[in-house]
Amino acid sequence: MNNKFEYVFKKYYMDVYKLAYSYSFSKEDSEDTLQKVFYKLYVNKKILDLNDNEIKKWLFRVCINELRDLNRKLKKREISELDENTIYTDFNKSDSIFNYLINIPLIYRNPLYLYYYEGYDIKEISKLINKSESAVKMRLSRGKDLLKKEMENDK
Amino acid sequence: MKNIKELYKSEFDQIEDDNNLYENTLHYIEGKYSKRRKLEKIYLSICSVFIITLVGVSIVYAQEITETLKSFYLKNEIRINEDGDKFNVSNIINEEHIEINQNIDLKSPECSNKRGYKGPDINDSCFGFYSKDELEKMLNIKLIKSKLNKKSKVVLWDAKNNNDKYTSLTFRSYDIYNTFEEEDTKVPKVVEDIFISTNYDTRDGIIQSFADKEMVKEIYIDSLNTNGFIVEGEKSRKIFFVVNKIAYVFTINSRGRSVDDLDEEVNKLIHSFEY
Repeated sequence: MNNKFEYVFKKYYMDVYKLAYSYSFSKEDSEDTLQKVFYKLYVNKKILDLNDNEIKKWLFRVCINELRDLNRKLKKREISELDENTIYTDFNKSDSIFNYLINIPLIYRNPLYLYYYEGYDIKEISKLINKSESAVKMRLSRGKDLLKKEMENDK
Repeated sequence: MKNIKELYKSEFDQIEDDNNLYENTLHYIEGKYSKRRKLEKIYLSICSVFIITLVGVSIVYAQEITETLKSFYLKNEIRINEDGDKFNVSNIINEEHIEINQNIDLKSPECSNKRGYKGPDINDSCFGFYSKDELEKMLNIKLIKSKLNKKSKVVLWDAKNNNDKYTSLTFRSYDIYNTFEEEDTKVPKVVEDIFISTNYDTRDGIIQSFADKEMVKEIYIDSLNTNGFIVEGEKSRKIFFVVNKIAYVFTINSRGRSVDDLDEEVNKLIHSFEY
């Protein structure tokens, strides 16, 4: 395998995996998405000529598109509760963010994750999810409100 | 209570590669990529075999293919040849002669075929009158008809022979609406000529019309799925086309009507054909 590909893979595979997990909360789906995203990078080798930050953004964009396809699958599956086998933290831990996020609609999950965990600003998120800045602001604001409501209900 | 950012950090930082994600993903990519390469090779081989076969067949049967394409191209063709400012409209029949039943007894015109504007009367003993159905049976051919008048009779206008074989036959319906007896000026006069060049004919073309460039217009006749030409005159329109090796010319005279009425009549006629 190409050295640059291996370097990029090693550097970003967990970032892509976490982004997928923050949306699906399923290890299996996240692993599938990870594989699809890096396969696309492997067959589009010219992306490897970009700088690391640009490559990461490209990977995130591809990942978000893959997650949109997954969206239909997830809607059918009707996840109502977290499955012990699918989450990473203590299932019974009351303040686990996974317990709150699972009740947040899918469209708010990516913007919230990219903003709070990855630290991207609104402009960057709008490019990553291919939505206008005002749409991103709205999703972040509503997502945050819903998340707070979930946390308050849990008190 | 932790703020949202802290919660995200504390929870997602804990996610680690606890399931051989690294190896599994690289393994998946290598497997899928090698499968893709194999498929590409198979497609490439199939395409190469197909192209080689196609080239081979084209070389071996070049002559037959050319002839087939040529005959297909020539079928139902009517062509205009440019000659200075004039166009010479003729059907291409040198390779498109039609075989007809020669064991027939058609009544050839016995006197001058000039019968003035009205054309021959149905009782004119100089001519033989036939319905299209009769002709189809006698000559073993198929003729186009117009829904506007299925019963119109045609006369044998001209017949050429060579060694007791018909080389060409020209039939004419002097007025497809059969108005010649009534002088009905509300109905336009439409003359239909049918040109049949048999397999004993050696000429290159049998119908001709000389017209100025701007008067010739190519048309597509939907009802017959064929191309044709309209030659636009001041008081008339001529429609030329060939269907199944038989050439047809319809001449529409205005009888004092406007050009718009003429064009409407052309349109009506073109849509009335059936085969």
